[in-house]
Amino acid sequence: MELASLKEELLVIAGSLAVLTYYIGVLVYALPIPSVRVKRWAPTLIQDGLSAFLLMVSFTAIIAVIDYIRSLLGGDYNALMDYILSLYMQALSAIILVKYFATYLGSIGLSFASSLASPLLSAAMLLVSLLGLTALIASLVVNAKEILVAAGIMLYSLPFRIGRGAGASLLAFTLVAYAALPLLPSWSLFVASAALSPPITYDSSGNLTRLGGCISGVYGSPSFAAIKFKDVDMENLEYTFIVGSTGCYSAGRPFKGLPSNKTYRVSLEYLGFDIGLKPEVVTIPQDATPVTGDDRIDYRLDFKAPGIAFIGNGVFVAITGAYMVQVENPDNNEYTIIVKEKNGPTSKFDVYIVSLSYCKPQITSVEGMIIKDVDEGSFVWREVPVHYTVVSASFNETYKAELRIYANQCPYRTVPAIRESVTYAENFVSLSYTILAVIWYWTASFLAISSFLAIIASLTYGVAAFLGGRGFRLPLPI
Amino acid sequence: MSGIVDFISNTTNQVVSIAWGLFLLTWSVGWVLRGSPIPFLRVKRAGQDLVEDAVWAAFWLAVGSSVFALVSYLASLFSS
Repeated sequence: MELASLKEELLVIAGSLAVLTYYIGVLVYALPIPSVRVKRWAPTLIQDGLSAFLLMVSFTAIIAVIDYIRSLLGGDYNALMDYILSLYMQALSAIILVKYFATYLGSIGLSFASSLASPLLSAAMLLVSLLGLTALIASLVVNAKEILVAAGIMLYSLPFRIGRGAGASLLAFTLVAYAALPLLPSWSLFVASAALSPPITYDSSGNLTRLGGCISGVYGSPSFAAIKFKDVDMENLEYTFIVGSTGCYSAGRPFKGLPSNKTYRVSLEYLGFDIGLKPEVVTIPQDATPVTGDDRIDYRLDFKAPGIAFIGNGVFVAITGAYMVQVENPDNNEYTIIVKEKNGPTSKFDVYIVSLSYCKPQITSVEGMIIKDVDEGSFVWREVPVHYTVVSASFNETYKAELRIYANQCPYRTVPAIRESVTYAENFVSLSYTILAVIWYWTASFLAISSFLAIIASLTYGVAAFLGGRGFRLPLPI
Repeated sequence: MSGIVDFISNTTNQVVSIAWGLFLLTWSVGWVLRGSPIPFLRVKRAGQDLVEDAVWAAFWLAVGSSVFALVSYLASLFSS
C-alpha cells in the first residue's frame, strides 16, 4: 500500500465520515421523537460534522503550520539522531567499562566493587531504553507524520464522537512531537550546563603528577613500547606506562600518575631492548613543561631516542659506534639510513635491526661500508615474537655511509603483556571522584531526556484538549 | 479502502433520503399534535417543538452541500 495513497484514502474517509455525521445530525432533527435528550444530539452532530470536515480540508495547512513551527524552533532531525546515537554509544561503552573495571577490582580482591557498579549499570541501561524510545518516536514522526495526522483526522470524524478523544490525541501527539522533538539536544545541553558541575573537583593534592608526552627517534616513533620511570632513590620502585601507536604515553587522569618531587631514570623497553632516552634522568615535575587545556595531564615531558630510527609499526634500527645522521624515506617502504663516522673513516660500527618476526625488513644495499659479520636471532618479548639482526660493519675509508632497508608495513597490533602502573592508594580517591562524576552525568542525561518527554506529553494533552478531545461525553446543550 | 468510502457514501445518500421523508412526516405529526383536541399543554408544546425541529432539519438538509462547499472554499483561501 503506497503511503501517499494511504494518506489520501484516510482523508477521503475522514471527509465522507464528516458528511455522514452532518446528515445523521439532520436526521436526528427530523425524527418525530419529542425527547429533548435525543434532539440535543442533533446540533452537536451537525457541528461535529462541520468541524471534522474543516479539519480534513485544512490538512495541508496543518502540515504547513507544523513545518513552519519546526523551522521556527530550529531543530534538525539528523542532529537529533546523531545526538541519540552518540549518547547511546557512550552509555554502551560506559556499561562495558564499568563491568570490566568491576571485574578487575574483583580479581584483585576488592569484590564489593561489583555491587558498587550495579546502580551505575542500571542507570546506564535505563538511559539506553529511554534513548531507544525517543529514537523510535522521532523516526516514526518524521517518516509518517502525514499519515499520522490523516489517521488522527479520520478518527476525529467518526460519528457520535466515538473516536474524538483518540483522534485528537493522535493529532496532538504528531503535531507536538514533530515540532518539538528536535529540540532535545539543546534541552539536554541546557540541563548539562546548568546542573552538571558535580560538587567535587579533581584531586589536586600534589602527590601525583599527571604527565604525558611523546617519544621520537631520529626517524619515527615507537609503537607499543613501555616507558619505564625508575626511582633513583629506591631502586625497586619502577613505574611503567604504555607508549601507544602514536609514540606517546600518558601517565594522566583518571588512573595514572607519577609521585611528585622525585627523580627518575627513564628508559624505553621496545621489542625486547632497553633503549636509552634523552633526557635520561628527570625530576618530576620540575623538568616537565606545564600544560593547560587538557584535563588528563598537567605536564608534558617528551623524550628523544638518539641513534634510533623507528620504522613502521614494529621495526627499529639502531646504530652503535657511529652517528645516525638522517633517515630518508623516498618510497613507501624504502628507507635510507645515513650514518656518519665517529671514530674515523675505517671505524667499526654495529647496526641493529630489530623487528617483529613476521615482518622482517631486508637490507637492499649498502654504500660506503663493508659488512664484516651478520648475526641473527629471535626471542619472545612479552608474548611477542621478535627477530633481530646485528650487522657488524666498518666504514670503507669514508666519512659517510648509507644503508638501504626495505621494510614492509607491519600489521597493527598491541602488546597486551605490558602492565601499566596504577598506584591504588593515590588513585582510589580520584577513582571515586570519577565514578561520582560519571553517575552525575548519567543522571543528568536521564533527567534531561525524561523531563523533555514529560513536557512533550503534557503539551500533547493540552493540544488534544484544545481540539476537543476531553470532556466530550455530554452533548452540548442547545 | 474504497469499499469503505463507497459504503459511507451509500449510507449518506440513504440517510439524506430518509431525512427528507422524516422531515415531511415529523412536520405533519407536529402540526397534527398542535391542532389536536387533546387537552394537555405538553402535547401542544411537543407538537410545536417537532414542527420547529423539522423546519431546521429541512434547512440544514437543503444547505448541506452549500455549507460544505463554503468550508472547502474558506480552507482553500487560507492554505497558501
